[in-house]
Amino acid sequence: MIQKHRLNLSGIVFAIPAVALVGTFFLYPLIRVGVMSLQHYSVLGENAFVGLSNYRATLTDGEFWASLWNTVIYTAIVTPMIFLPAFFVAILLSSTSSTTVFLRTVFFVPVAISFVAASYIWIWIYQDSYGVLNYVLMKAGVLASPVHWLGRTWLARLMVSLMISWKTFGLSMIIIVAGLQGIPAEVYEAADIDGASPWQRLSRITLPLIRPTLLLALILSLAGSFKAFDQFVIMTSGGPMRSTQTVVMYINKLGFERYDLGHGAAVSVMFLILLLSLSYQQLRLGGYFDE
Amino acid sequence: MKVGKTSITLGMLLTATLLFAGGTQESGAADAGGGQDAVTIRVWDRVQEMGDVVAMFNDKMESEGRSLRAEFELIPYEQQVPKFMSALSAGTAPDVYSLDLVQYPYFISIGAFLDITDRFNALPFKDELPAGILRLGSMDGRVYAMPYEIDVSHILYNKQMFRDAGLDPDQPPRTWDEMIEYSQALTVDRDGDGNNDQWGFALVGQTAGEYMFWFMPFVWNNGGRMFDDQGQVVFDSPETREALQFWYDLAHTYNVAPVSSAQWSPGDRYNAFVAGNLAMFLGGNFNITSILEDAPDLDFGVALMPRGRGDYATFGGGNLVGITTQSEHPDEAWEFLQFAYSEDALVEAYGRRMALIPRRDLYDNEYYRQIPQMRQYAEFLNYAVTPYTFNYNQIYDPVIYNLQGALLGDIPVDDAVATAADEISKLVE
Repeated sequence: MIQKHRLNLSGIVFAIPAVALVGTFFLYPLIRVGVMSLQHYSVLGENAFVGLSNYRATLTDGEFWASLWNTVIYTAIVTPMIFLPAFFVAILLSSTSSTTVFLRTVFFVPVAISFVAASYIWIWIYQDSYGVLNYVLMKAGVLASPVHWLGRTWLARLMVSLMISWKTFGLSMIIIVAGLQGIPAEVYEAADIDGASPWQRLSRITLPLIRPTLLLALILSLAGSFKAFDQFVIMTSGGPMRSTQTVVMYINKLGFERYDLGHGAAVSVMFLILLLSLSYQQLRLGGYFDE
Repeated sequence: MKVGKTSITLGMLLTATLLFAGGTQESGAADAGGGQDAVTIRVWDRVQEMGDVVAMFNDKMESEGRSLRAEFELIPYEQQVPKFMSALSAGTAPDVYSLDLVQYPYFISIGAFLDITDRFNALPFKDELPAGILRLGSMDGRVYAMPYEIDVSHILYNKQMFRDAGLDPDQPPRTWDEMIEYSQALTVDRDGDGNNDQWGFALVGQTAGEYMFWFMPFVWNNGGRMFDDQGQVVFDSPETREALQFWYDLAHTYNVAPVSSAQWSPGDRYNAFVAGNLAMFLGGNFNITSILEDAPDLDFGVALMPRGRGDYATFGGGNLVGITTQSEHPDEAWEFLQFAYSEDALVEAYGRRMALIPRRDLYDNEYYRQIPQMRQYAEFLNYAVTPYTFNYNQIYDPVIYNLQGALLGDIPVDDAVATAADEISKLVE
């Protein structure tokens, strides 16, 4: 009995730093945002409680729905652009040799760059009058005149997604490689003895066994895409004509352009609920709760 | 034994936590050392030159044997409002803040800045500060902030390209008509592939702030305005429509500016200019130092933006500086400000880097004398206009959406101006 009690006490001691950090930098701000969302928040002076009016204002604001729609479209474009290359490259590089380790590193390097730096690099590549992309395509005779890559709604969405795919698919790839390496070799040996085709090996063995890993990579990537901010602020500023303005940009605009922090907090809370329910659905569909 | 270990661990953790907390709270006062006036003034600015002023101030205090010190924090341009709002909200605003002037009406209105009218009136050089810009730091006849770092928008042009095109390099375009004529002469397809390799002009820009800084002067120099003296929105006028149409035509009708430049950043224009692909560009005094470094052989001139039916105009931008109401040491903060406006500080920290200083009586200094372009700024300042509104940040969104939409060809010019005016009116009410 005493022994058990002692173990718990030292366990608590070791948990204190983590609990303190999460409490200070996550739980407390989260509660404050929740309170703020019910207020007409002023930077100096009294904050008046206004009930749910910030939430009502959000639901009737066309710009909120437009930003949400832009975010959904962007996520729908970028997710396969990250996942398909990550999955196939991971399969090619799942065995360990000096070549695959080198290539994995090469593909992973962009992950280590910040979104801000990556956005600036690509905005130069895409620049229509001195960017290298137009230069190469025009020299190769593919284009007759320079293309304004970020100037049209769908093209801008696609080109930003391309940058993000380059920037982040390495992370998904590494997670999937780790999952693939966790599959015991005996399973494949048994499949070979039974005469399984490569397609059967992929669909009947590899995919089911790395399902939890894929799910983790997918949730991380999807949540990241929904929170898109830096890349659009830097590369398009939400343009042309707000068509690439994401929800987080909208929150930022409410808080720091319109000084309406309470309203911004309300959108943040709604967005959090949306992301939580999305992640829950993903876990449910991925069979996480069945295991 | 085990219980003992646990308690020791717990004790160590607690001690560490307390030390850590104590350390962060006391650091400000501890730096200044002992002494009677052991006070540290916190100074925020978005330009590094203020850091130099702070260092010079600290040297001076040290040589005088005083323990008053200043501490500088560089605030990135995009962070200057969010950081200030969080600090005000947490009660940790700096003593002295040099912030983009357009933000002052709002922050003065919520009581973030201290009334310094009496102190200001006692300054011997107060009449040397640009009055149009000082207006942004004043409210109801009281002064809360003073012009400090000055930025004006204007045109920079490549004199060699003027010569190559048969134009007089000392006569930049003065009217819109001349602007079209010059731009046509300066737009060149060098290799004959149907794509222009050298552009006469480039539009702005990626953000609303750029439209305010470079497009609005064209509205003003055509006789239009965004707000009248009562603060009413008078943006939807023939003057504004003509200015926007003029820009639209430069790109779409005359093909002398890239259509895509309606989304270019200031960096894009600067790069195109320095690389020799752009003859005239919309920039400011802040480009001078970089050009002298990046392209020492580039022969360039500065000029006011050509005018329409009105008088010349430039956006009088930059920073005002004030003492926040959360400062616990306003007297020491004022002492720092007096030093910041001294000839030594302004000329050595700002003049040396060709940054524009607020005191016109100091324009004839050793650094400006070396660069002929700098001497024109005293004249440019006479045409400086700055819009006054409590809702400056809020007008960003309608401005960028509608003006950029029109210049990209997505919205008809007249509709864009009407919608922008309508949306701005709603926000300002």
